[in-house]
Amino acid sequence: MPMPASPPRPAPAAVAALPAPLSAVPRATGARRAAGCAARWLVSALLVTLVAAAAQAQQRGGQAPPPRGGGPLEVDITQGTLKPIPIAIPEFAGEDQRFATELANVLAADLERSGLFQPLNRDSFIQRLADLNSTPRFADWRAINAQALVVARAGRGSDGGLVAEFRLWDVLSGRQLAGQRLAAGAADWRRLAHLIADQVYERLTGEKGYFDTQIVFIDETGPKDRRNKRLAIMDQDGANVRLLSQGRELVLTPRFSPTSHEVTFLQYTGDQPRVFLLNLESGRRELVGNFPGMTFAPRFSPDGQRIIMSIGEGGASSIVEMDLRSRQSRRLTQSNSIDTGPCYSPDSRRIVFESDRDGSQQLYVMNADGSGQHRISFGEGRYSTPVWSPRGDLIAFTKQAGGSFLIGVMRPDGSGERTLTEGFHNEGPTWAPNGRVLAFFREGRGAGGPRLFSIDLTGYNEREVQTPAFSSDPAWSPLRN
Amino acid sequence: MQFGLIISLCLHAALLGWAVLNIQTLAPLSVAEPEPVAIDLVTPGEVTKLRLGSRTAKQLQAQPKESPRPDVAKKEAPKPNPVATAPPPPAPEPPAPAKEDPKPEPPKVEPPPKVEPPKPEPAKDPPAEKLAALPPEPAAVPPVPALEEQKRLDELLKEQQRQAEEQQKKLEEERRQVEEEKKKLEEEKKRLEDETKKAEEKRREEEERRQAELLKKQEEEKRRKEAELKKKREEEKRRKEAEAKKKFDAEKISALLNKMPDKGAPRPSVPLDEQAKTLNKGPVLGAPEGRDQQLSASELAILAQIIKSCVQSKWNVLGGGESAQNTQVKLRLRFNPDGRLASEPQIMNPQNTPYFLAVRDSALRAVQACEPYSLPPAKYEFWKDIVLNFDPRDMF
Repeated sequence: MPMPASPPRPAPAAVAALPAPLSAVPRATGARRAAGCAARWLVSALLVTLVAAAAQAQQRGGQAPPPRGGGPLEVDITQGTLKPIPIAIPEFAGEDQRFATELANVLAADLERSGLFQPLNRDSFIQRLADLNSTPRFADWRAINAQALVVARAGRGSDGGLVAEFRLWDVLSGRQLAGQRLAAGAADWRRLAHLIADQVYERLTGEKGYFDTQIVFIDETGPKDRRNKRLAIMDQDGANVRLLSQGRELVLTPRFSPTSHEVTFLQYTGDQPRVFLLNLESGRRELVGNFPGMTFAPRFSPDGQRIIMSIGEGGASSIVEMDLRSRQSRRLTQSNSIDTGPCYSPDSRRIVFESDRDGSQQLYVMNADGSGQHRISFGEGRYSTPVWSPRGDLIAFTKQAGGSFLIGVMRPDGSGERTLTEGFHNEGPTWAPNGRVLAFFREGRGAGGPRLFSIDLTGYNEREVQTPAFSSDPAWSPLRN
Repeated sequence: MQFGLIISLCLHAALLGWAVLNIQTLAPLSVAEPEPVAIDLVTPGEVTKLRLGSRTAKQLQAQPKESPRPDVAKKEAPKPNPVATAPPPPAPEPPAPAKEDPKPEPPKVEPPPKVEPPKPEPAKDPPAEKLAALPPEPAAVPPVPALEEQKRLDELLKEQQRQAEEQQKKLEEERRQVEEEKKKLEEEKKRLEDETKKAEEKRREEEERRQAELLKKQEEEKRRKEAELKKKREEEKRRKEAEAKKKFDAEKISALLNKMPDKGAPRPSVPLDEQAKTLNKGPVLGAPEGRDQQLSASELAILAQIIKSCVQSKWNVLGGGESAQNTQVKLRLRFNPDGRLASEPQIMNPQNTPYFLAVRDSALRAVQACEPYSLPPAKYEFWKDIVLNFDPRDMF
């Protein structure tokens, strides 16, 4: 019997409907009305069967695979490798060969540092690409196991600026994945490479890039007891370091504005730490607010219009928010404890901060108006410097536990705590604008001074960011535009 | 008229519709092919999981064999007794006429063989302990014809007795002698009977003893085997668990590290253990009908594993975080018999988010990097059309 074995649903229903009218037939011969009723019933039953059959036929013809028997075998791929993608980045084409080669090097270095790409050695390349607009011989690139290929050309634009064009190819399928023409100022030639790197990164990972960014940090020189701390800025890859202060005053905790080319930081004037604001383009520096006591731990709001910080009052400190335009300030917490390190969530609706109100330093979250304060960290040790991810899904923090300082992340509700890096002294995490990479500073035991490092959210890819001297307190800029 | 017409039309149409449905429902039945293939695949047992299953099945088969043995022996041990005791009564009667009539002689010959067969049984038993279960079977067969023969013989004997009595009456002179001889014969018979009874009893006792010994031995063996089995199973379990743990560590890479300084909380290796448990649950070859759907299922699982192991090793999962946890890519692959893709993979759930495109492309790269797939050509029907669900959620 085929019926019991047949999987489709409609068939049994139709079959079930059929016998009933058949059994009704003998009765129908007696009463005419009943017969008409039965006939109508029959017609409707018939219609049902036909519709069901049609639906079934359609289902067969459609894409949806039958559940069992005739359907294709389904295989779940739930694990992949975390190996970097082999990518071929030949020298750019262009009149100035040195410049074109340098660009390719910067691009390759960017992608390599992300930990997600493995730029292939150019000596292994079989095909010499001369023309950006010709289709590469993919077999040549497959032969060296490249999965992606970036072909680019760079040169001077008509306006004197720099112009670069690139195409990103998928070597295995031979499809072009991305292609664009980019421009940059003559002095910013490295940006061309960073911009291409962002495009490649975004297309292949689905995440926003973070290569065309800068990092402000504290440059530390001199002996340990008379350390000269200066505000400095550089590209995210460590190039183009520029000093922003002369080192006469002690500066700490610089923070980048998410929207403008401004930095807020802490500077000691005399014995009193005060929060300042620095415009990177004009170099203008100004005091934020006019509070009687010390102000510290500043941070911008996501819209760049407000600064949130701590003000000291005797042995305690509270969190205040100041509007940069109206200069109006608003107190958000008030207690006898030390509330500090405030940071907005990317939607500006919540604030995470640290407080010792329960005895030791822990992390708390409150609404933007100061209501609904509640503790989110419950692990052993002391939590500090919370930073909300630009994606909003995580909060990074420094944690002091068991004689070591570690950098960790947790969800805004306090769950899913995970340690990314751990050691003698790690501190001050800052998010790259894509919320996937963190920078922090580390001082090894007996290292003499701190260094900058970056680590991605997986915890696998930890890299030192090369700086000319000791450096600390990094703050990542938003993507430049 | 009209009504009749409508009815007939409707009935015809309904029948037609039913037929159409039936034809459609018949279509999937053409895929009854998997069954023969599945049976083919059992015998090789090349894959470890299948092999493990068959091992336990053999052991389980060995147990039922042992348990029926005592039962058969017990049931059949008493049977031979009635058979053995039954023949002697007919045997004594014929001997009287036997001397006068040539006919009764055959019965004389018959009883001894009947008495004899039980004797060889014990003789057979000691050498072949394991065959103990087998001899009773042939022994069980003869009794049926023997009884019938006995009945016939009895009837014949009764007739002969009557004739003999008549003859006895006629031959009174010889009678006494005959009676004396009869008595002697009866005595001899009794002796014989007693002897046979004693022999039978002895035999029975011996058999019982042997059977008891056998049973004991079997039970001991069983226990020993069971103990060994348990040990083996436990060892296997431990091995499997260890392997599973090893496998787990090697295969399941978490995309997110947790570098805790003190607590290196070992992750529970649940999924693989569970897999192993379910795979080792029942005897794979123990299905009464032999047409086990598990086989085709496991066969499909093997095919899936071949594809999975390659694709997973080639799938570069990039990125991470929130978007990764909500992005799945479903690809449909159509293969040529040589293991190469017959056409571009078809994206079953196209979307346009950057993350989807990235996962899709990485999935496509993995699928293409695995060409040609080393899949068994004999099972082409099963893997010519395959759907891959790429889901990076577990990694984050």
